[in-house]
Amino acid sequence: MVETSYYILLSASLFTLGILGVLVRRNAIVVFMSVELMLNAANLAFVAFARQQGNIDGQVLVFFVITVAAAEVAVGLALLVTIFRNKQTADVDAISQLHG
Amino acid sequence: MPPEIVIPAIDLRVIAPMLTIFAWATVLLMVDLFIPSKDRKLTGYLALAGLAVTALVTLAVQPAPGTSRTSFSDMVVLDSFGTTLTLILLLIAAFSIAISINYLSYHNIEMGEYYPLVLFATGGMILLGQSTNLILVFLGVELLSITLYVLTAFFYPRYTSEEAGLKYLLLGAFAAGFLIYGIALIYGGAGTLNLFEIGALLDTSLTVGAAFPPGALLVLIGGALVLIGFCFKISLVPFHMWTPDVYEGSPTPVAAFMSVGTKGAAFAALLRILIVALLPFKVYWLPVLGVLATLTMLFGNIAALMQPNVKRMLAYSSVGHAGYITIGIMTAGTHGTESFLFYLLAYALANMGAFAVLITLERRGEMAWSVDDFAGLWKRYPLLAIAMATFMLSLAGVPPTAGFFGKFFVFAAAWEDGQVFLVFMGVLSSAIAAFFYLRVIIRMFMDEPMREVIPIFNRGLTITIGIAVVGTIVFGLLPTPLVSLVQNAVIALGVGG
Repeated sequence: MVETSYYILLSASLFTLGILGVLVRRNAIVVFMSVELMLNAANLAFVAFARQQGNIDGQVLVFFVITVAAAEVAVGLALLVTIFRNKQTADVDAISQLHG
Repeated sequence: MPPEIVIPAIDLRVIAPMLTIFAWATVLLMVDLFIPSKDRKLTGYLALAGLAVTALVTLAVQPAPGTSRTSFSDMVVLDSFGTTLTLILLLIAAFSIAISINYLSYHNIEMGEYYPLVLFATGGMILLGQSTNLILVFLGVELLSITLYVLTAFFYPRYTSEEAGLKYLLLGAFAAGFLIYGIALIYGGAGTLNLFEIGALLDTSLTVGAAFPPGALLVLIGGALVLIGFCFKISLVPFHMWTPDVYEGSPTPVAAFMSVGTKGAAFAALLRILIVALLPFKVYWLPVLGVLATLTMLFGNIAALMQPNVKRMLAYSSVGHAGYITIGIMTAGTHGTESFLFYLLAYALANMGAFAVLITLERRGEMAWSVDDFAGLWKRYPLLAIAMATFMLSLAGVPPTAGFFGKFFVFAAAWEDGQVFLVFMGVLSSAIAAFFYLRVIIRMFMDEPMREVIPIFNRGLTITIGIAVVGTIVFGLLPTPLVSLVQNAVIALGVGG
């Protein structure tokens, strides 16, 4: 059996990659993908910890996270489509009519 | 050996308020299909009825002060803190729907889904106030966030509204990532998601061993990530960047709903997490929150000073108010929790009222909300000007309004707790804030009208503004009944003084 700490290291690196993706990439679709990476990093950590501790709370939470992520992406893509119809772009820097 | 699954005993009374509001919203979503589009306002009235029924159910299941009920393996708790918060949230939702009913048809965005979405978001907020398990905290946050992403972009096809929705969604999802990863680390360190168990576990592991146990370290890092996730939701500086843009772009009633409802519910959940689970870590989170609160109060109010746009000004002012509420959370061990509830109600009344006045002056197809539109309001619509002046004074914290007592209780609790520096910064930033609130009042009463502005009045707006004015002044003159109400609420949490 592989040690839990390896899984946690992997999930921490995935999480960091996700954060970097959100901060660095300018295409809104890629930003969504990076957010998904963050959520899935958490899922990996949950499953690993659940295995280590022998209780299923973590595995149950993973289902909720997957469901929530799907709902979030559904709303996000719908919004992107409406914006794309207006502006013909998915670049987050171009989406800045509201000055702030 | 696989873990055994035990179905626990279920007490439906604990989740009765949520059950009512979610069932009502689901049924309303279907009923709306059969309502002809010219009678769309009926959906709004039915949603208001749903909120009233939920309030009655909440009062019916309300436990005696000092007692609480838990169910679903201690995942949900029903105590006076939760029910008081639920009633405040229902009032906020009712205000939002009342000011929406004519707003939607006036701006040609009247769609039936709007009202069930508001109900779902309110249900998510109630869940946040009642949950004692991190799974439910996450679900509550997401339930209210995802519905609010849709509501923010409800001005479709107006481009700014879509942009606001996307900005809110991108930052909200980013914050959700931090929240859930933090929860994962807490789970890894403590082996449970229950707030009470985490608290008990930390208590023993921190006192028994002199060295810092690795599990506690994981919980500490996780707690920090959870805090970051919440800071986005309650828009503490430096996690507030989205707030002015989102408020400006979204339909005004939605901005009003967000500015008070989301904040109140997220603060309540944060309070439970900090006090119930992470109290042994108070030495770590207290200074962090202190810095955040100071930055938030100063930056929010200074930025509001520069805004010619009243809607953006109210957005920055809501950032500033988040700072004051944070002080209430920090001092939750003494009288902070009561001051939090009182402040929330005072702030809700004044802020909903101010947004309602903004709606009366808002014109179709225009996104201006310039402070110039308030010039000379006193000469034409004296009652409206007096109402707006009351809200501005309450937000600024001038007696005899509810806002004064809200600030007074927060600062008193902080003083009692020995947070002298925070009290000083709070008073200083309130003085800065008074400038821009008074600027609106001066424009209304001293200046000549700049351009023709015809306010729109309707029953929902008038009633909302009326209740908000009366509430602000009555609670400002006679705060005692409300204080005893929130004191009862706090005893149940087990942290009251």
